[in-house]
Amino acid sequence: MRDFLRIAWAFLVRDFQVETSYRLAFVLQVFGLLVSATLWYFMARFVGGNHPSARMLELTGNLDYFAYVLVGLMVSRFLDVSLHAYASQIRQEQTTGTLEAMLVTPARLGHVIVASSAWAFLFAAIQSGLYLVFGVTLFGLHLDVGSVAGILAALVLTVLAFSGIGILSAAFVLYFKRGNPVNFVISSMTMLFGNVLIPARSLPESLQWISRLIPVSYATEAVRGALLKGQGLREILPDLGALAAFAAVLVPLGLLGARIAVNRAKREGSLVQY
Amino acid sequence: MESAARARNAADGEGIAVRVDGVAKAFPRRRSVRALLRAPFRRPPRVPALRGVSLEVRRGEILGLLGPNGAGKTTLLKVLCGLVLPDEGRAEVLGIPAGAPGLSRVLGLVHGDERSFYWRLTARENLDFFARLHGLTGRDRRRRVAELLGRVELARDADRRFGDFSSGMRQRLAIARALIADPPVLLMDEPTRSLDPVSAARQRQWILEELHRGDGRTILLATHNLREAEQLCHRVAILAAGRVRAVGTPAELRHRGLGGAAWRLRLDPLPPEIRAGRVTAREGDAGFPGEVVVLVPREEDLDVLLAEVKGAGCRVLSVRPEEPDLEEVFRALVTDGTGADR
Repeated sequence: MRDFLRIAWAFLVRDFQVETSYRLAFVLQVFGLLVSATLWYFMARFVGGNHPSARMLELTGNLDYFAYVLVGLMVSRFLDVSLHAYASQIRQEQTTGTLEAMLVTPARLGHVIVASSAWAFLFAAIQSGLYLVFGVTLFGLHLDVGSVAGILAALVLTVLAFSGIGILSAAFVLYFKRGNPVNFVISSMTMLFGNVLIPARSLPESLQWISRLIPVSYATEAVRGALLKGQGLREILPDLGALAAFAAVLVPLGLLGARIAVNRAKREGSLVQY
Repeated sequence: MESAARARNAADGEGIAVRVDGVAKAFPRRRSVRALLRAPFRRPPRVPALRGVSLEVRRGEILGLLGPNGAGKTTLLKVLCGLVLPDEGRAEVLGIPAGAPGLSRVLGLVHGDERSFYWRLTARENLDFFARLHGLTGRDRRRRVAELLGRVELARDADRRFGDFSSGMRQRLAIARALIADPPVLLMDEPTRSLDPVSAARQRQWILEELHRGDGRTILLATHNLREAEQLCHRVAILAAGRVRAVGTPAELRHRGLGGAAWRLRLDPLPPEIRAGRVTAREGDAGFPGEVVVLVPREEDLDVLLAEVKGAGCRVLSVRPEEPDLEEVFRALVTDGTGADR
């Protein structure tokens, strides 16, 4: 664990140095988040007006649409990073030739794959925080925090659950030299069924069961409960339990798949080809 | 650092630093879409990159791995680093099998590819990142990075971005990175690629004086540059089409590659035929009028040849050993005489 943390810190320092060399890009990203929050604020006003209908409040669990969607966007940032960051980082290191240089150090490949995304996760946390800051300060979002620990637990478990798929995707990249096409399907399914932009309860009844198979739907519910509805750890425990179960299955599956793919890539010589 | 120095100084009984034993490796050939559709489950044909390569690098030696492009040089270096698993055979460095934990403490790889750094970061930041991956921390890490930048003469440019560096500076930074753990064995993949002749000569001199004579490191150097192999290496292994064709000192290879020793004879008159030796150059391409270059398998065959010439009524004006051109030897060893790869 100490080795991993040391390597993760090395990547954090490196990526901070790289990012600060692109100062304008950083400022533009913050501006982009502000524009996105503004867009959803006016979208919410357009959809629900200043007085959301009883039907909408029933579907969103007594939240106005802006509050509902803002939490969905926050959680989906972590989802995006978990699904895509590992693979895109590894692909980038492969194409720049730096992966080979890393693999001749004592750092283990598994540690390199996971730690190389440390900055992406930190940045996702900053982005989520900025969404919240813009929401509260500019658009009157009302917070009713029940459990900070619950929010953190929901985010960590979501990251873990999707990291299993993300790590598998990175292994796919190492072997096939291209991104895992399944990720796009998972992302789209999550936006549709994961209570991110629209409540799954608003979908036809025959499709609603799919949302129970998507980890993010539990994460969005848990974070909304703990951040906006004053729910404590005990109240969001069922959602956290479901997320933990997904993580318990997907993380070992991802690591196993990655091990197989890396061994095959070493045998076929494609580990450091690009 | 200390363990690496100890490993460098210790003798393993046989004095062998790198041992490659019967290593074979074939890579799957990429198939066309049509071939994939026709037989999606058929295993793709494999292209051999290494065919039973065996060689040894002695402690403190510079061994050149000389071969044309595609000969298998880089694949062999990757096998030694554990980046590619061999299909057959084994490779080890100071008794540590390739790919085993601990290998990175005794083995450093100098990449020929100058892209393998972060272009937006400075030389110091780049080196610092890799030093962290090597497990160096705090003051030790900063001291080591500064020391290495000084060694490769980049101290004054340490805070310039890598992207602004010349090819020579990039190559030197690659050497500094390979030295982070102070490994006793270095693998160098074309260390003067993309350098101009003056910078390349300076780089070779530096490798010889600093890394070899100064540090006593064992170096396995892959190159397709004959001059480089000749200037730097104690011994050269000629690799072609995945096989080791010959191993020896450059001088040994000159004679072995041509199948004997070459002699330059000045005769009067030049006989129309010489049967006892193979004529490789005649009057005109040989130099002065009456000169001929003859290849004889053994030294004693020269006496037979001279007797034959005298018997034909010719006077022998001079006899000089001819140093064969290494390029000619190399061509002879990697081709079958028709120009095709063996």
